[in-house]
Amino acid sequence: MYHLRPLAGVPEKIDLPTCMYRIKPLNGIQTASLSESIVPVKRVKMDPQLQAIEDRQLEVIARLRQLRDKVNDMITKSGGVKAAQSKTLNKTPVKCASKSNSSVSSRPSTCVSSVLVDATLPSEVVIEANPCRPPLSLLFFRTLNPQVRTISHVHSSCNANVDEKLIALFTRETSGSTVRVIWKDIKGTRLTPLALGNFGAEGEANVARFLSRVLAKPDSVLNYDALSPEDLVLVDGVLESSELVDTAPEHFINALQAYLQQRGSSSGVANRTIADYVGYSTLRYLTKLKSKQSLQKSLVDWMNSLTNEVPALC
Amino acid sequence: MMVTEEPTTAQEAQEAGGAPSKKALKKAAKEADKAAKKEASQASRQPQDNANEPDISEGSYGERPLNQSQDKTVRKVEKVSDLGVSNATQTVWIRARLHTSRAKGKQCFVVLRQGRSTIQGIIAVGENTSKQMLKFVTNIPKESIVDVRGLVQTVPKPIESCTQSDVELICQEFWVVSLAEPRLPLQIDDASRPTPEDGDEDALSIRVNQDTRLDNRILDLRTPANQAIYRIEAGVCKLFREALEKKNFVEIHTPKIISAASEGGANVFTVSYFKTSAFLAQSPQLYKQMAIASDFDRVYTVGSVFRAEDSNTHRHLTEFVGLDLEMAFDTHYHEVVDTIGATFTEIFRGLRDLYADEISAVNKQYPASPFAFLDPPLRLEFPQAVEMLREAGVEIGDEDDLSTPSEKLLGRLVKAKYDTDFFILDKYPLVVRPFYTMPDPSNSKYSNSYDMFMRGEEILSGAQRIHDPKLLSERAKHHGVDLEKIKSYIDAFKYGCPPHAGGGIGLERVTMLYLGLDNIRKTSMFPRDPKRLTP
Repeated sequence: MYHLRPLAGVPEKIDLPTCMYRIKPLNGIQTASLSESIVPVKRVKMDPQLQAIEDRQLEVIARLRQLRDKVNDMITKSGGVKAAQSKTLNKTPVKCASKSNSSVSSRPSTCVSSVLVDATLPSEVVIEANPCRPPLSLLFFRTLNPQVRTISHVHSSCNANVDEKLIALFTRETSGSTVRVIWKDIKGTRLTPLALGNFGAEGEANVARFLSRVLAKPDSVLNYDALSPEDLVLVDGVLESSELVDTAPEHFINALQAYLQQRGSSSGVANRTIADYVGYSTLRYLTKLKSKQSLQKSLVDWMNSLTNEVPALC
Repeated sequence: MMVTEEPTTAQEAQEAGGAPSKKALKKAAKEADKAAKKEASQASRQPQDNANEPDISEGSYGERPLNQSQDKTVRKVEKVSDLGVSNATQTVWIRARLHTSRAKGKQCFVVLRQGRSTIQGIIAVGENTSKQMLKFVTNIPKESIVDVRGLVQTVPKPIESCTQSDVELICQEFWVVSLAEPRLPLQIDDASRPTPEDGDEDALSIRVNQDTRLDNRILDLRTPANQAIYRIEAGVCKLFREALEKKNFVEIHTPKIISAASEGGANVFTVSYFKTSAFLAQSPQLYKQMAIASDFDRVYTVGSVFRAEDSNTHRHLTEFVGLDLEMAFDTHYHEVVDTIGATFTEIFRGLRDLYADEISAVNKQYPASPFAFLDPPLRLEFPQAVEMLREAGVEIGDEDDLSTPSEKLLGRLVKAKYDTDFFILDKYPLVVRPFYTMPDPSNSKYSNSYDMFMRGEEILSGAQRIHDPKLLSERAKHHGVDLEKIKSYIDAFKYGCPPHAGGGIGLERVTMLYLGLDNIRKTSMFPRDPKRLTP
């Protein structure tokens, strides 16, 4: 509105301060001025050992990039096969969520590290379990991949003898990835895929979620990540209540019945979800504690049909 | 330290040059009065002590004459560990060491120790116990061996300081069988004290160092932890024998004086042998293999092994007890690996189940996590171990041997993933194994050899041995071994020998690692190392 003349004459070029207090850089990098700091930094007396570590880190990062590219390449190559498989699976009444569906990524994650999600089974994983409550769901997952080798060990914390039949049930000699089942005096089931870090899964439900991700085909209803949001609510209901079966068995039975009713006539071998496997394992445990007679006939029939899927369980 | 009489207050004042003050004089008078009273009190007691009043306990206490087996009387002597509430109101005889004694007025509390068990005893002046007896018991030096007859009595409150906490012994007879010197080079209580936990400032810090312990091993071995350690060690040996006997192994005894060094000649003790020299055996391996070549099929031996290694580490001894085994197999050396693994499992299980009290006694002084193991044992292959180490950031080549820190780290990684303190590492690179190791037929880089680890430390090194003299000569040549020097070894296989494998463990090292101890000298009763030849 008004054009005012400056009150004082300011020179065109003035060195304004760039910070309140000037201190010597801690990292040994000298910056003469602000403008120089933008250009590549000059290193003053870089420790050769530090330099070697930095070089090694860069090398590791480069190798990781290569590895990532390789994995991506493999996924792209196997994409065609998966698409063909998904066509057949889409005929099943249980809706499969698409991989691109944002709901998949927004699901509550389990304890399993995101590093392992969408990966294949590591060369060796350890599952610690209590012989009083064997994770029978593992046997069903094992049928999905004939290359999975299972070895049973009894941990020294188990003072009582572990049933030989149980050890035999969880032992299969092949030449693929190894799942070591360690029978231990432990409260629940625990999975340890790596020696380092805190990756792992606690509870049979979470172990099953992990196994479903690494053993079931990505678009299969058996893959936890492939379930539609509606099915996921039912499946999670069974999985979560199975973990609390000791304190609230009725809650588990109700959740299982709700799940089975919802699926109705769609129940069949090709249409199993991890809720079937974990539910079966939990129900077997429950019927060992309580009488099987109190169960509804539909539940008994469902149990028998699952038992027939793994002959060793009969 | 010089002991001088302290000057009185009046003397002090006089020495200072001035006349004693009123206050000083009053104080001096008070002291003189006190001294006179004390003298009077002593004088009044003297006649009582010296009086020839009858000793009502005479014949119930004293020093026993030297036992030369002059008597052959039979009496029932109870074990301290067996005494409990069920023995209440019984009169028993026990033979034990006087652990501690504490006189208080007309009674004296003693703690009697037998092995790891302790019981409290009371001597109280009364109808049947004289003052003379009380005085005698009070003056017995600690660690003396005594025979005590007493009445077992239950106690209202548990006695925390004794293992037999619910009973005590009312002593009626107290006899010294063997007197100990009054001054002990170390106190058993000090030698038994656990290392205080960090932050526990109230705990006593008096400890006995390793050398003092070893110099006075007779006393040191009396601590509850040591009593337990050597019983556990005996258990390892017993369980090893039992496990192998069940598997039809034959115990053999191999010579310890040998004419040639058994493992290449280095680290060997030379001894004078009449007009020539001989060596102390570093390993019974050759003799075990000769027994296999002589159709003994499965053999084991328990005996001393000597290593002239100038290693002053926590895990090396120059003499130790070797538990070695060798076994002919049918088709694959894994038959032997599985047998050794199963033997270890039986030893560990046996210790866990049969020596729980001893293990807990050791843990009281040397706390450690319980030894975790798997049945069947975990068996990993060398490349898997290399992979695990690389994941942890260790730079290691495919055919590099594992360094001691790498072994320790691997032990920790295995423990984290598999929760086991024992594992087998199979398929070592051929280049890091001795010339007699059978190469892996499917991969020439590796060999049919294995190491076994406890808490991250190698305890057994074994392999399928080459039983073919031609291949053995080739491999020896490849390793630059002089064939002349090992001629007798190669000749042992000339007349046919079944395929076989084996290994050996050190008894002291196994015991140390099972108990989680930090030094092998704690599990060797009279250790031999480069700096110690006595006791």
